[in-house]
Amino acid sequence: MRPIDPHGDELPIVLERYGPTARLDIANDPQGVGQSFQFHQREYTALIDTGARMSSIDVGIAERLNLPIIGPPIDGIAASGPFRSDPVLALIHLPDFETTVYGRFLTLPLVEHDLPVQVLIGRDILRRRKLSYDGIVGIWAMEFDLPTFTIGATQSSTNPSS
Amino acid sequence: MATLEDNVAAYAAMREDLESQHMDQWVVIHDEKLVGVFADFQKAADHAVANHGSGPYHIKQVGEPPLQIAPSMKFVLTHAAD
Repeated sequence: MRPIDPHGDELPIVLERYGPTARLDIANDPQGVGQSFQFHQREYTALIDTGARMSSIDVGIAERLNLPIIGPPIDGIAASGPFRSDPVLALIHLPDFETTVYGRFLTLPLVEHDLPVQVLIGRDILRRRKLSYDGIVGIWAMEFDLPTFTIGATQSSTNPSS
Repeated sequence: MATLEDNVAAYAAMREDLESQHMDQWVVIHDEKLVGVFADFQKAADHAVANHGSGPYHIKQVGEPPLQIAPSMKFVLTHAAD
């Protein structure tokens, strides 16, 4: 028997189409020394991108949340032409994995480029985590410091911010 | 208060020393001074936020290669053939 998501798509197809994606929340910047980042229960979608050394976040979201820039900009070339990217500090919460971690994210025009995700989680955040991908069944799992959480492709297949 | 650019320049000035003593560790530069050396980014970020809020500060891994854009972004298609 094959896993089927509520929309009737077979999970292996959904996983192939959208990749391993996870819900997450992103906190905005601390308002002062000694303050912490604040979450606002907003749901975004992240793609687990093992091809990326560095994690990335949509530039518009980074600006809205006023995420602190923590390094010099880097220049890149996208389909729409050259652009400049600032590395920012963000605190993200992954509810399906019951974990909250800091990350350094490049700011990229992900939404402008019609990517169905707002965050790319690269190998810098995956370091010291275990990731498994079952394309036959259509599930993937990531192990943080605690128990393993297995995710079907279902909940990741939509863009909650659109 | 020093700007991010000042902190980046301060890191460049101390880079050689840091690479000889703290290769692959994470450092926080605030007000042009080295304020901490940490085993990983989590601890560096924790320290930076707790002590300096939203900055400006420079968080950097000593000796890391230049940052790169994710391949996922480089190969986005603007037009696809039917």
